[in-house]
Amino acid sequence: MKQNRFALVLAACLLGCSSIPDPNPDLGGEPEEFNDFEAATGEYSINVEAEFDPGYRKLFGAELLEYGIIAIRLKVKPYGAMAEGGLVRFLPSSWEPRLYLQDGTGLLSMDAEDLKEISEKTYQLAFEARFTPGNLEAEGEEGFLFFKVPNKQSFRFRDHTITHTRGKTTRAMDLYHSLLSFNVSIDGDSKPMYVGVKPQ
Amino acid sequence: MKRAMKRPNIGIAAVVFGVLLASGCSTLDVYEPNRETLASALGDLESGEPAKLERAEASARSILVSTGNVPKSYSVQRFFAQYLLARLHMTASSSGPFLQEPKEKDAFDLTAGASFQPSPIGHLVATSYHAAYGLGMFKAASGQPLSVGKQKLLPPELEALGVENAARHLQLCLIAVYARLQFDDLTNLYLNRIGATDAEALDRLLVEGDASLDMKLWIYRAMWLQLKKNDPQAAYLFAANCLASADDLGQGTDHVHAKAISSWFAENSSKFNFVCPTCKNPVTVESRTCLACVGSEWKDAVYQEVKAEVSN
Repeated sequence: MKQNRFALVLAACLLGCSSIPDPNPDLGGEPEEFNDFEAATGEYSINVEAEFDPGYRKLFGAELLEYGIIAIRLKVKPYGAMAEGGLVRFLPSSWEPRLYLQDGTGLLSMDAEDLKEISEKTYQLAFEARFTPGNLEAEGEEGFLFFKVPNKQSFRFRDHTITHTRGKTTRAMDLYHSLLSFNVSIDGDSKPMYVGVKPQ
Repeated sequence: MKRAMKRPNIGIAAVVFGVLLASGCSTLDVYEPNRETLASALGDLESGEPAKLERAEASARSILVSTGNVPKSYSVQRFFAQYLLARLHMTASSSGPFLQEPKEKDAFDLTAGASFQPSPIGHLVATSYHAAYGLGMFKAASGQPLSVGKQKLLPPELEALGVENAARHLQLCLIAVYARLQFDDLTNLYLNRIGATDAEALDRLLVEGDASLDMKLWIYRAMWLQLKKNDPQAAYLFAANCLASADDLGQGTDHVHAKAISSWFAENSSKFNFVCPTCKNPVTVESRTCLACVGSEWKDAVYQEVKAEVSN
């Protein structure tokens, strides 16, 4: 009996010293040097903000994250010469909003219509709140973009933290360190814009 | 009662034995495999091929996974795993993206045969992620011995680079990423932090940090943008170096910023005299070479002579 127990403890020690991959390893804790991406790009005299709030379920009548859907509120407002109107346009065919998670996973925005898979009510609320591309007027434009993660099973959401499992590695990522990108037409030229996602 | 007295003794002996065994295992068996993995990841990284970059990523990540339970014992190897991850994503962003992103609106389901495209921006975000984590690990790795007994922790190339220069590389990665994403405030914050006060100081830092050509291009451009309003003469050198880096990358005047820099040169031409360092004849920015001296490159001409020849 005593020998069996000793053998068991010894086996456990031996297993412990061989390098068994941790299924959920800590990749280094919260990095000290991590800076949020900036909230706005100033080169084109346009203020841009992208916001996320875990409490968006109240707005859409459903917990979108449970369906692997991330809602981002985008606010765009021109100033200076850009505020005169007609210079800045979001062309539906080419503005291609994308959300990049910290590990580089890129998501393309989905149509509000795709939220019908949740419920008709959610779709209606999302449709009314969506960001509508087109000409940017002086008062600016504000609305939601929706992004769906691929392979929902490999992602888990908790507030603004996403864990993504790839192979043997699970990474905890902060949505507030993710990046939104889109193309904007300024005076006829298409320009890429990048903005960091912030808390609402 | 006697039984109750004996049981803890066996348990304590087993635990002590286990601890001794575990410490022996980590010294004898673990550092060398990680060192070999770092070496193989570095080799894959230097090839620059997307498939090998992806393999290098898996190798570097495997070190973080296998040492996740005992990070303090492997602080140097973990730091260099993060360094390689940042560096390979930086490389992939410009020369060989292996991350994919949806190309079309209906490409949400990976199993549906949807179309995807390379994701250079995804690689930039991943670069900043790993660079930030790496810099977070720098304190733990800094000052640590690079060998335990006779065992080296690192392959020769990484040992020669050293922890401090690897951390410098991570800072330069962040500057290049922020510059490429047009985050001017963050770019300038890091440029000031590393002490890039003039062209010579920056060039020294770029060498120390083993910056790639692509990183240099974006960092030179960032310095040009930072200085062009208030100190155009200083900005000039960085603009010239940016164009020279674009040349070296084979992008030349087709580079996205070449047009902007050339326009700025033209607007500020009265502030500079461009001369060939060999024959001292004037050269034009557009020609990029001295027409009198075949083979004399424009970038060398301006770089060598601008300080002496500049006029207000």
